[in-house]
Amino acid sequence: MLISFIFFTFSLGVPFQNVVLSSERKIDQPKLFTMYRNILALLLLLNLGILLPAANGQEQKKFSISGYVQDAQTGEKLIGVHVYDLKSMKGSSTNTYGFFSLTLPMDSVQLSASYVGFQTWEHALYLNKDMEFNIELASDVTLEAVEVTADAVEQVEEQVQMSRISVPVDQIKKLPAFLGENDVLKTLQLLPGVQSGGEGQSGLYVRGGSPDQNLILLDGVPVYNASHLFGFFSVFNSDALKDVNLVKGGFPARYGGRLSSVLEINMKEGNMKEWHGAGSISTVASRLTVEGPLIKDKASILLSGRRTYIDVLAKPFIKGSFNANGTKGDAGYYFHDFNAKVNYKFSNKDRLYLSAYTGKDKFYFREKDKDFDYNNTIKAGLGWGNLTTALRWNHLFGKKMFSNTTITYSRYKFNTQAEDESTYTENGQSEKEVFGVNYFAGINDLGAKIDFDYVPTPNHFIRFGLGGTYHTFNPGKFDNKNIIESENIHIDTTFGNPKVFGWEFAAYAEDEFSLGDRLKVNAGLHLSAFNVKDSWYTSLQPRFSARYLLPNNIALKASYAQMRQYIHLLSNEGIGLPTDLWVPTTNNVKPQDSWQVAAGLAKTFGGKYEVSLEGYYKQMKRVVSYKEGSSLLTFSDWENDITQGNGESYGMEFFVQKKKGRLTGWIGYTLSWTWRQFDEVNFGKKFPYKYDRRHDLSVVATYELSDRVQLSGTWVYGTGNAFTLGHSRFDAQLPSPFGNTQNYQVQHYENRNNYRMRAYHRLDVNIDFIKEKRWGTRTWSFGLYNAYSRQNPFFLYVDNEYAPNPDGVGSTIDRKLKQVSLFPVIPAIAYKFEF
Amino acid sequence: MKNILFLSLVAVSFSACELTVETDLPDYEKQMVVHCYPSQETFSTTVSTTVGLLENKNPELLEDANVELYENDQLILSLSGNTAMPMDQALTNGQKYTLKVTHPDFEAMEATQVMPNQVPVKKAVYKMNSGVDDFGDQVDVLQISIDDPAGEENYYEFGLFIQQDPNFPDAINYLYPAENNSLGVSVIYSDLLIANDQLFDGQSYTISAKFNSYYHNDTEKYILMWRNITKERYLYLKSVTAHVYASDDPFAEPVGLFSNFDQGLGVFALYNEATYDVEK
Repeated sequence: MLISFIFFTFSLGVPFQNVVLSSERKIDQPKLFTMYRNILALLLLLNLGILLPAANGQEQKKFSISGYVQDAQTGEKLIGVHVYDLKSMKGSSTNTYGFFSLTLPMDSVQLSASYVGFQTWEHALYLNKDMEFNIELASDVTLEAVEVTADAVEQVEEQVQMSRISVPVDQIKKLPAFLGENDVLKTLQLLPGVQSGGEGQSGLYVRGGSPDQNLILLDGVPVYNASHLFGFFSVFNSDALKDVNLVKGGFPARYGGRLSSVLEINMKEGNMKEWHGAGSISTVASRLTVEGPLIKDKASILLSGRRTYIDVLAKPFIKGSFNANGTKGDAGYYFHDFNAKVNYKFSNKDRLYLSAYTGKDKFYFREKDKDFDYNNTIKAGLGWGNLTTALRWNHLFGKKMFSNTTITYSRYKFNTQAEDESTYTENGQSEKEVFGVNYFAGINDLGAKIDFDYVPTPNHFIRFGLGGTYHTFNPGKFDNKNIIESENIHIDTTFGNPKVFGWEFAAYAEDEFSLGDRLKVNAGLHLSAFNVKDSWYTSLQPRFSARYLLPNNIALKASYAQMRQYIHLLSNEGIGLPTDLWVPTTNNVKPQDSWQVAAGLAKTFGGKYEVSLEGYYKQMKRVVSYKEGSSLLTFSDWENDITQGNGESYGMEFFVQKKKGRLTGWIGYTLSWTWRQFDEVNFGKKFPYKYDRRHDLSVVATYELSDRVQLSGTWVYGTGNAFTLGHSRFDAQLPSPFGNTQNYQVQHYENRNNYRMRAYHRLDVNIDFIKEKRWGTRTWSFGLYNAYSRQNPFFLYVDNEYAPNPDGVGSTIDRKLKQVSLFPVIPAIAYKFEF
Repeated sequence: MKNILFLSLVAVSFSACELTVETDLPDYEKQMVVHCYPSQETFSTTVSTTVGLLENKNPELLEDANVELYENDQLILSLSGNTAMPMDQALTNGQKYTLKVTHPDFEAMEATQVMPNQVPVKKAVYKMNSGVDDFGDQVDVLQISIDDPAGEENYYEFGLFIQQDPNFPDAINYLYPAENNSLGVSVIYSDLLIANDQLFDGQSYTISAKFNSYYHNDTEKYILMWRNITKERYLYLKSVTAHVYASDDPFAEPVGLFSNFDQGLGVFALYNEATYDVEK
């Protein structure tokens, strides 16, 4: 009971005080310390719940079975494997690192481990001492079901956590892909409660939240811009990924830092047994992944890369275009990703992982124009990218406690530059003129955290931990260069927003425990603090989820979660522009808060159909928006450009999923309302959020026609996005200094987002032809994005067309509302291989 | 051939299309629009109407609207829309004025203003070549010292003029806040800067405005036109300025237009004006 002792020691002599659950006041450090002590005292109470049953059951000795579960073929650790005693039906699940611990009374035990896609492992033993088992599950080639569920074996009605979905990477690879590029984030958009921003976009809008309210973690490291090519692709290369988990409500205490969702993406660890690879060549990009043992069963490595080649293919045409204009030049765009991961197993108790991701988008333009007395060079570029690294150390303290210590670094930077340099030569004398601008922005994080999993009895699964992150925000700076030698002008200035530094801390504790056979609870507390300049903000966030089993195995679930967010994204709410700025809470900009309640029912019918129905209500405070009139193109002080207000979202989500058989897939439907209210926007009146979507429906299906042919399709329908559109025009009159006036024609609308675009719907289809070869497996994949070429709205504008009058005098304006649609039907071909 | 097919596929993949949507716009009812900025010398009102967003015509003036001005609920002036007439009596500081506009085809419009008091300028100074702006260009600074009344919202409007010819003063274009952008905004195309006292309520304060040094001239006489304006005038000018800028910027957030009329659009706004010589 080490943990109890630690908590007790910290809590000793600390009187309970009234705990402020959420504070935006500046506080001093002693008060912060007091709050830490209070949370520890509460944890002591949680511990009593563990100690008491233990005391009652002293008469029967208990022992632990612990270890890891891994894929026998690759050595890859398996997450969420249900390990349990068939006799007592007591069990546990493996954590993110494949670790499990199960404490049972001294007795004969029929231990079983099962996971979809693998043969069930069983082992009989007499438990009379603590034991270690490293379980290897063999692949079951006869079972090819594809599932989208939190736990492959633990059925939905058994799970206490609601609003959480795991998407197997294999499932992502089977669905139709835009331009042949499978995309994690676009698959998540097909789930209820998650919606896309617009045509082709990979941004996530979860239960009325904005994109900055999603914490996207790659191997535990925040990724600040998850988009390539303005959001049309995500940065995650599916070949390098192991699993994807999205939590959109009922957040356990271990999660924090964002209001709306946590998306955990873990990279593969690398095959411990033998070398393998996979790759693809698609319409726009190619990718290759190789993995294998550095030391068999001891150390492995995974390397994965992806690059687009539109720039390479188009290069001859672009150069030709410059030549036709009498100049020389080049222009293009590409993005690339590179993932790497190494892991080393020191012993059964210690294991080290080092993972890294780097990705970059780049637009470039260069043009040279040369004459006998004149040289001109124009260079312009736009680049942005992420770098994330994580060093993780797994350590076992005995049989019941697992720890993971992580050191992380994350960097996102955006840069754009343009320079025009001219040289004039006259009478042998040269004079130069240079005009240039360089804009750069970004965010750097350096963090460390330690997390513990503690399984004292089969009825309790305790998690606790703490961590800190040092943020460096660069909210936008300009370099301006202006050199005119003939006028002796040499200006080189830098202006914009200075860097801001902030510390973010978090500590948490949660316990998942059973009270009888029907009631299962996860309760916990999350404490967070943020320091910027000389201000401290703190927040204590209670989290609670419960599942009660009704007759006929229908699970009734409910949850409550408070969340706080200290960093904000200034976004144009349209396409995912890389110019979106991450900015901190400051003295003027306060942290965002939310609370969310959810309740629902879940049941599995006939072992095949999983059905869930959830309702939710979420309130958000101090959400961030640009003020009216603020623009990405005005590079003023960002604190002056934004305003904070309230958000509200409520709705119902229905999810039915067929998990087994040749035909698998799901139907997800969301009915929701989302509102925003800002004192400085829309004259303080509440208005629908741009992504308020009354109906959102997804139908996803894969069908195995034979071992060699597989069909898949998705159909989505969504209410049109809200949009601000004037319904009338008038002449606004402005006074001039000397009593006269000037008129400007303006548009009038009653409310922000008063208009709805046309409904969005789209069908994507795909067919895979799979063939086993001597060297491995190859797949030809043919797909159609937007198969029936629906012209979905991307944006609308009023076009003024001037037509000459019949008499030839003057012209008439013909005003039309025009919709721009991005993608008609788009075919895609990909050649995929695995060896 | 394979390459051509491949490139064609890429080209198709990135082709965008534009669709002209024949669609119903939100329900719209024609509204009356009134603009009234009475000075101490002249009273004029412009009455017009809105037109539908996609209608192929311009907003129209309403000639037969009836306009009445009340001082503390007493009718002091009446005229038809789009005419101007000299004021028989000066508008009095602190008094309530109500504008009522009626037309048989529209609901009656009404707005009320209280004539703002004059907050005198203690000192106005013009500092030439006072630094450079973000782009390295030389700027001049105008400094206006006032004692802002405590406990009330005050709104100011000012412009700077070169008095080359007493009958034709020449305005300095584009004044903008020198230190803090939350002070106020430069009104679009009007040579005026509007400011509020949120930063300095109840304090002795010096408002600083910058402008390009291109205008400076050592020999000219500079005049400050200083106005105390109502909150409604401030909000209207600010919203129209932001709206016009935003309408030319696809990345800008939309801007709603302020109005202090319940049943229509536009503004009835008062101001109290004084002029001051500017020290150099």
